[in-house]
Amino acid sequence: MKLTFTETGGLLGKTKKAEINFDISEKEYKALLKKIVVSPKKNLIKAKDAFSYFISKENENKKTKISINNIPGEFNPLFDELFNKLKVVI
Amino acid sequence: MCQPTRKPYQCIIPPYISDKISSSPAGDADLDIDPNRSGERRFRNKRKALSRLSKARRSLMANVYNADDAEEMIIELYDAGQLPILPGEMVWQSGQSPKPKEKIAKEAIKGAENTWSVYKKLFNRNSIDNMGMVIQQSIHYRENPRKAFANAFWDGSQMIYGDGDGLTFGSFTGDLDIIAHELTHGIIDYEANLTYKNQSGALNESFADVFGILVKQWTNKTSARRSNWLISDKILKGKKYALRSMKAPGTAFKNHPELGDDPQPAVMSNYIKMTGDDGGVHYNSGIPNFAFYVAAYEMAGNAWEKAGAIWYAALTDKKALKKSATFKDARKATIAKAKTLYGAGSNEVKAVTKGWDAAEVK
Repeated sequence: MKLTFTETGGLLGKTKKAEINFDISEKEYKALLKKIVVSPKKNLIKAKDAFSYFISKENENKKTKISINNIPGEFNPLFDELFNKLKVVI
Repeated sequence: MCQPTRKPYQCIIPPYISDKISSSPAGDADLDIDPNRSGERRFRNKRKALSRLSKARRSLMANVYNADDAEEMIIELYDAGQLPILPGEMVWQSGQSPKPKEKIAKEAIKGAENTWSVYKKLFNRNSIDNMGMVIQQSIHYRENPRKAFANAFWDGSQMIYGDGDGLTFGSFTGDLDIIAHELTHGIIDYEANLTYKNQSGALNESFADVFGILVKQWTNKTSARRSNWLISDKILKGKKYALRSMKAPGTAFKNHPELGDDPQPAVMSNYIKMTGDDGGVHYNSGIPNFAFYVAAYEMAGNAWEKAGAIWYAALTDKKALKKSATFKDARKATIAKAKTLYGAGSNEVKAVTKGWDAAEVK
């Protein structure tokens, strides 16, 4: 599955993106999102200068805001790769 | 009328607030009036508990606890241990001796002390909430234990610093103006509370930069005309790089191997409309930053004396600067404050007007 990961904000405000093909089923992807999605309530707490993270899959218009604080261990390889491939886009 | 069984502090605090204090983690130990404790310690602990109440509840307390009652800075430093856990383990608090020897801890403490002192000496402000709020900072933080954290932020109640990745960024405690920038975000929350999006968000960022640079200039005794007006010229590695330039937005870094070029505009005609970064708050802050720089340069002398006083007066007047303020509102508010402070036909009014004109905010 083709995944797009975006990091935006921070003290500098630069937006970084990574796109990778990762061996993950639709079901696993949904289960992952459920664990790391930022709840609308938590989203209301507006930190200043914090990073925001978003993930989306191929052919999906919606970007999901996620937290990277507590990624399930089995998805560490996925996020290691995503972080390594982040490149400034603007 | 107080009931004899109630403690003295409960007599003046509404019951729903005293209940909250009593049930807070610090409440039981800190708020019992112990005759063996010094008065100073007692007050400090009481205020610490108060600072942990919600903003709204603390506002209710404003008439009970006057900021003048005890104006001492209270700083707490925590070590997050490279984990996404806040605040982490306490490593030092004000009054404790000796201070930590570690460089990053020393920088965080010194930075917060300098920032508190500047706000106190210049604007008679008692900490973030102007009621003696405990300044809480966490160092060695990571959002994810597997990834270096190259950032600093204000989370709504405390300042948080990462160690950087060691390649592009050093520790985010490395620049005094960044510590002052983050603390100022806290002050903005208690004052104009500018919505962190689009123009009001860019103003939020700009006020944080303005007071960040003023704290640095005041500490180093650098006048407006001698300052380099660079925000954070140490954290971003490489002698020719800084995070932002208030004097020449868009020039703080060029052809950087990882970050490319500084995208900040200096003038309104180059305003960037974007969705990322909360509508470009760190991009378009270049415009009000440039207005401040021109105003301060025109006034000459020390920027913290007149230009700083004008910007602080605007920031702390909720009628003049509303949550949803635009750049034009900020122009109007600062010109009005310059008139109030220095007179309608004063050079200061002319300087502020010239600043906003230069940034094409009309």
